[in-house]
Amino acid sequence: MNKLLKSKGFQNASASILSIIFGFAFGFIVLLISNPANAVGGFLTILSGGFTGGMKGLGQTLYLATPIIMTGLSVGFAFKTGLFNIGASGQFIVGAFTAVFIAVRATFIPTEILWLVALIGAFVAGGLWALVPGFLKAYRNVNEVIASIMMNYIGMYLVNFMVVQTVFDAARNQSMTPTRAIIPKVGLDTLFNGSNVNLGIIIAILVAIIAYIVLEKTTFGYELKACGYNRSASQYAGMNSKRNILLSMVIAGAFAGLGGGLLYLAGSGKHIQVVDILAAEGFNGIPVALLGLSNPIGIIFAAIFVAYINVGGFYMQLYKFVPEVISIMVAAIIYLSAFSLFFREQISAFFKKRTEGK
Amino acid sequence: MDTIYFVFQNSLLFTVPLVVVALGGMFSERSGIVNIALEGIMVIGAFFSIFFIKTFQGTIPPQLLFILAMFIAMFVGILFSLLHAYASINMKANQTISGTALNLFAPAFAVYTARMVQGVSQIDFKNNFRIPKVPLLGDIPVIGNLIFQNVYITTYIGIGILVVASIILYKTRFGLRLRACGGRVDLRRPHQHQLQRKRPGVWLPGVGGIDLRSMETFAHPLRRFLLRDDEDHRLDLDHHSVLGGSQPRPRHL
Repeated sequence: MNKLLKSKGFQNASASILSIIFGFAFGFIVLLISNPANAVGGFLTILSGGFTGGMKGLGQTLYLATPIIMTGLSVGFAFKTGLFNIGASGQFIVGAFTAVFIAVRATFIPTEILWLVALIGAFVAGGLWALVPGFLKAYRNVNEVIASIMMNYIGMYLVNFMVVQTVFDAARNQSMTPTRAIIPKVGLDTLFNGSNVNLGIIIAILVAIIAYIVLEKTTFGYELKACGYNRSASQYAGMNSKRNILLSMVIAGAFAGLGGGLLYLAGSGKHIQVVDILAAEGFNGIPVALLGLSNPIGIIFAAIFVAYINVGGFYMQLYKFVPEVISIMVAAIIYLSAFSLFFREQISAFFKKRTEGK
Repeated sequence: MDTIYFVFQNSLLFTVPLVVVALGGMFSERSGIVNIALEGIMVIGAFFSIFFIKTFQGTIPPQLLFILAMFIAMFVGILFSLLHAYASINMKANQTISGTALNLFAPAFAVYTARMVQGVSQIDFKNNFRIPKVPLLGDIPVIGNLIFQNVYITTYIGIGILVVASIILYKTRFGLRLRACGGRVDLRRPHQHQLQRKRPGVWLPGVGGIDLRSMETFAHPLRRFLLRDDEDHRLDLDHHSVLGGSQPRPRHL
């Protein structure tokens, strides 16, 4: 028991949970100030989140979690290797476009495997999009934040242009529906009746587990992390730091790209809109990665958590609240999680005191 | 020739907010704080000052209202960036994380408050701050056309801030200490009190926030900015947390 309490994982998790609790408290205060009469009902709706709509709500939670698991992984994987991949949004949308393009235009591929090919395409395209900032970072020491932000805009406008050129549904100002390449539901739609959940969530979780194994259990992952901690030291130890930086950026981009594919091939009526707005999912990956402490397994739970309270926020509109309060709460949670160092010290001091007292 | 004047006047309009925000970023950067929260500070400053303008429009003469709103933006910007300062200085938190949190918070808070208070997320106000022609100076050939016609008072304030900021940074003791703080991390440790002095360095983005308003002439940025009322309003939040560093993109506002 003591060993468990002292373990780093436990302290990390309890710091996250503390910030979540404080974040919720803050959200409740915001609700109380803005509308005291409905605050309690609204807050309970947030808490019951995905459960509000029964099985449908739960399925919807998983559906919403799928893309943000992937973008969270993208940001988190890069974090682990010392990079800040703020370009998940661009990689995401480029991956999404590639998936939709293959799904609509690659008519020569048999229907059974088309969705898989399209997803692989998304994976590759996202990786290629991250290759540019990765290359600039590794070989020219250009700050990856700047480079990938720029790539976000290039990606967004390029995708808008390409959608109009190749897979355009002019009547609705959006991309065509990829009817032939919908990701299979594998029975999840009967389990979670009425929701959009599909095989994508399983793929996302599998990818997260693979990412975890690669990062924690392989030499390759160790090298990537070592380069993140200290580039010069890893180089001195004989690692190819340039290649490692390039690869971690590409892998991160590939995750985000796959996320785009998973969302737009879900068959939920989501299309690429031709508007000048960066894809939201890319930025939602940042809080998810931070909340999950950049650990792939943690990211799965963080993404499901964020999706869960978002579903709660959706239902909260019944109480005449505006769902933005969810974003406020997530922001508060992230802000407090920046204090995790402080929390961790407090927690370990608390336990130390208790064991000494005995 | 008219085209050139037009282009120049309009680029001036877009330059000033960028300059002011970049200066804010510069102060934090020089003092050793990565201020990724500029965007959020800007949004919150813009929100409060626009709200102020909407409330008091008609009761206070336009130019005075404008300047008062700028002070509001500055004040809110200071308060909001204190959150970032507290996290990164007192709590030694990861500055990227707390900055991201601020960027997430600001647009969400703005949309939430606007919709709770007035039902819709757009805040409408009348833009009557434009000065068609500065008396006397506007009559100077060429130069008058370029910088003294169709301007906002913010243009001059922005240029003034630029000058003052350069003087503060390079010619005063405060500036020297500030630069020393940022240059060598270990220098800061023995002089904790100096850290406190860095905080004022974070307020400038608030001023940038109000400057956004001057762009209203063309794109009605606030329409799109504070905020579209479509089903995907959560998108707003995100394209605002672009974390553009010191490069908030007027086009998307």
